[in-house]
Parts: sequence; C-alpha cells; structure tokens
Amino acid sequence: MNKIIEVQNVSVSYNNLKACENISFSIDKNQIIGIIGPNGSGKSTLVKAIMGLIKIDDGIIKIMDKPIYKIRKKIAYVPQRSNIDFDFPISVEEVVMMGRYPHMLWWKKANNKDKKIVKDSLNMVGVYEKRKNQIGELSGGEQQKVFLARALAQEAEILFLDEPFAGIDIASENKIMDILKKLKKEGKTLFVVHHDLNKAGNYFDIIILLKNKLIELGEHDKVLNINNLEKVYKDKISIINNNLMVANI
Amino acid sequence: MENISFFIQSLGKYQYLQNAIIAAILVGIICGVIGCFIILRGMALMGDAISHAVLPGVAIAHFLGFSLIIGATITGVITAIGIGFISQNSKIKHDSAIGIMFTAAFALGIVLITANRGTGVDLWHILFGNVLAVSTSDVISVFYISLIILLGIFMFYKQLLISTFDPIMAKSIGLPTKLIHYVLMLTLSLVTVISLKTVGIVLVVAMLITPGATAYLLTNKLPKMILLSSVFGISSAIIGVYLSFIYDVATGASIVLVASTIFILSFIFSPKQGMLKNKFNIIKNKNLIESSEFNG
Ligand SMILES: Nc1ncnc2c1ncn2[C@@H]1O[C@H](COP(=O)(O)OP(=O)(O)O)[C@@H](O)[C@H]1O
Ligand SMILES: [Mg+2]
Repeated sequence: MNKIIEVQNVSVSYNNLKACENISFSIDKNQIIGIIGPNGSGKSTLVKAIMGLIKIDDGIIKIMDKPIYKIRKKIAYVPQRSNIDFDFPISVEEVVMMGRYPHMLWWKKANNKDKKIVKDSLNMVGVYEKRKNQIGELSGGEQQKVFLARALAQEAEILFLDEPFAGIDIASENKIMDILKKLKKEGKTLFVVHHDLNKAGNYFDIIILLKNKLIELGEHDKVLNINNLEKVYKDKISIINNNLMVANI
Repeated sequence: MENISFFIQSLGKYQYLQNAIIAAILVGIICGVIGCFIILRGMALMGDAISHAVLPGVAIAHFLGFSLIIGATITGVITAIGIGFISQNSKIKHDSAIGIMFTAAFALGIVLITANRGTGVDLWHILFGNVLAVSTSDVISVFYISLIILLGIFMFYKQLLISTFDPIMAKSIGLPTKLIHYVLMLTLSLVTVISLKTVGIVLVVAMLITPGATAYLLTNKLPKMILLSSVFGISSAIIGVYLSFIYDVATGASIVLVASTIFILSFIFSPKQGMLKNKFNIIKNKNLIESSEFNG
C-alpha cells in the first residue's frame, strides 16, 4: 500500500458545532499536501483529528494502515504560532530538544546523539547562532524555523505544519519551503495548513480544499477553479489578468 | 539587632518555634517549585480553587478521625474533576466552572464545620493557620510529602516541561496530558494540606503564585526560575515567622506579606522587565524619536 493516510467519513464537532463534516480522502506518501480554506473552515481541526488529538464523532482514520496511537513517534507537529506562549522561560535549543523526547526513556537526559541531532536541526534551519536565546527574542520567521527544527529533530515520517507562513517574512517563508521540499526528496510526507491561496500552486503537490466539508482534492489546476473557490471564499475572490486572486483574510 | 538575637534565643528554647520555622521553610520550597508550573500553565485561579476545595475533606477527616491528607486530596481532586467535566461538557467557560465548583466545596466545608461546633475543629485555624500547633510529627509528614513531590518533579521534569509549554505536542507524542493535569491537582491538594497550619487554606495560593511570579520577572530560564522561586519562598518563610513572632501577628499573613514585598521590589527594580527599566526605555526611545525628528 502506498497510501500513507486514509480518512473515511470523519466528522468532528465542538458542542454541537460541526467543524468537520463527513470527510473522506486518502493520500499517497512522499508529497507536500496543502490543506486550504478560510478561517474557521476546520483545517486545524482536521489535522488534530488525523493526529489523534481530539475525539472524532464518526469515521475511521488510518496512518500507514495503522490507527494513530500505534504510530505516534512517526508523526511530528509544528503548531500554529499563535498557540505558543513566547514569554515562556525556555531557550531555542531546549525547544528543539523536545523533538528528541519521544526517543528518550522517560527519566533519561539527552545523550550525545540527541545533542548532535539538535545541533544539526538548528543548523539546517539556520538558527544555530540563536540557540541560547529565549524564544521570545527571535523574529516571527526565526520562531517558525525553531519549531520546524524541532520537527526535524523528531525524525518523523509525516509532518503536520499549521499555518507555518502566517505573519512571517518572505525570506523565512522561502527558506522553510526549501526545507520542506528537501524533506520531500528524503521521502517524507508533509501536510501544510494554509489559508492564503495566492501561492498555493507552486507550493503543493496536492491540495485539500476545505470548508467544513471536503470541497475538492487533487492537483492545483483541478482544485483551484472559480467554481470551487466561489463555494469556499464567496465574495473574497476576483480575477485579475486571468489569475485568480483571493483577498487575504 | 536586639530583636534578632531575641528571636534566635527563643528559637533555641521553644520547640514550637523550631517546628513552625522548619515547616514554613519546607512549605516555602515546595510552593515555590510547584508554583512555577502553576504560573506557566496559567492555572493561578485553579490553584486558588483547589486549595479552598480541600476544606470539606479536611473537616470530614477531622470528624471521622482519618488522615487529613486523604480527606483533602479526595475533595481537591473531585473538585478538579468537576471543573473539568463542566467546562468540557457545556458552554460554560473554564473560569466560571472554577468559580462554581470551588465556592460550592468551600461552602460545604464551612457548613460541615459550623454544624459540628463542639468537636474542637477551629474554622479560623484551618482557614488562616495556627503555627503554635505545628507538632514534630507534623514537621515529619511535611518533610516526607515535600520530598516525594520534589522527587516526582525531578523525575518527570521533561514531561512536565513539554505538557506545560506545548500541550498539543505533548499529546501528539502520546503523553497522558489529562493524567498529568490531575496529578498536578492532586499535588496542589497535598501542598495545601502541608501548608494548613503555617499559612492556612485562604492564603496558600499566595505562596504558590507570588514567589514564582517574582522569579518569572527576573529570569527567562526555567531551572533558574524554580531555584529563585524557592529561595523567595524560603526567605518569606523565615522573615515572616520572625516578624510574626516579634510583632505578635498572624504568621501566615506575615509570611505572605513578605513574599508580596519581595515581588513589588522586583517588579520595580527587575533589570530585565522591571518598571524602572521600562520607564528608562520609554525615555530613551522618546529621546531617539525626538533626535531623529530633529535630524530628519
Ligand atoms: N476548542 C474549540 N472549542 C470550540 N470550538 C472550536 C474549538 N476549536 C475550533 N472551534 C471551532 O471550530 C471551527 C473550525 O475551527 P478550526 O479547525 O480552528 O478552523 P481553521 O483552522 O480552519 O481556522 C471554528 O468555527 C472554530 O470556532
Ligand atoms: Mg487553524
């Protein structure tokens, strides 16, 4: 089986509010998948459901043919930056070391291999010089790179990134995208939650277009047509020089 | 000076004073350490709630003659579970759920105690401490409970750290974040019990929050924050017991006021985030803006 993730008839609700409704799809491994839709369309909820972080009302989710709880170590998560307390008394290096926790015995401290992997991860994303800084002292882009480094240190097969490009500079965005492409070459599968359509085409092999229901799944050209976008973004789209434009929300 | 030597002399003479100060120091350490995690998890209100919620357990344990520790942890944990249940299964917000549950438990405790006047349970002493009554066996049990809590924190430091900093990742790598939460609530109940005689139920939250918050202003490294917090806890304990002895005022309140004073000092003078520093920065920035306006 090449399908790395299978989602069948999955629904999730919060106190009667349906955030995800009867969603089904399956994904081949070794791709970069964009999960796209406006704010509140259930993107984060879908990711949390796949990762087994919230209870689903209905449906079946399998990762590499197994239920999530058998395979947690192989999955890394890069949180939405707004969910992190950047005043927390913790250094860049310590955050990245958390990526090694699933590989450590519960009472043990980091060994030399862990330290080397942390160092390499920091170097790969280019924030090694700031390893001793408290995380709040970094720019938004650098903070995002730190959390990517943490996912790298985890050596996972599948990565979920929730809005990694929100509120960061374009140079950091490009750097992060380069790293994601490199990870794909190494055989990883990457899910990227994204609410800005304008660049989606170049970034993702497959797009999952979401508005609480699954609107469409497929390659860029198939998904991003005016019909689908109208369903999802309603009045926020316009066509300029034959290019679809979506107002940023 | 005279006062200090009088205090030291009395400390040598009176067993109760020795017990009081040792118990206060242990409480200062343990509250200081746990308090750091409570603050960073944004659970100050929860700390207040659980400490109040041990009251009915303590009362029942008194009447039926079993261990206060068991009584307190039972009602403390039941309250925590009740709060979680209400906020997860209705649209009531977490802080409202806390408000509903802990006042209910506290009121139940007061009713139980006032309904059983004449059994020798003094409500005032439970609420505000009674440092004269700290026995040697109290000190011993405070010591062992503190030791167990500290050991637990030391052994599960990684798990505590990650579930505090990034609960979503903690859950995603399979840590039992709910269990960690409830163990922490249980620990809060224990901490309240061991603080019962020195600071009492009502003020124990100050010992949890104030030294930790003081330390939070002074450093951005967690191990250092924990260390500083317990140092502030210890200093508040010693100075507080001393002041209450010399001026003959309530010990718990005296300890808490010392902790508050240390907080205010660091709030004003903290080199990193203190008020003076901020003022200074504002003035500096203003000058910069003015001079750049002038140049431009
Ligand atoms: N913890 C929660 N409790 C209640 N409602 C929630 C919670 N998380 C999300 N929601 C609601 O579910 C819907 C989908 O949210 P979310 O998955 O975060 O959307 P997105 O990530 O696409 O912006 C929104 O209407 C949001 O308000
Ligand atoms: Mg989201």
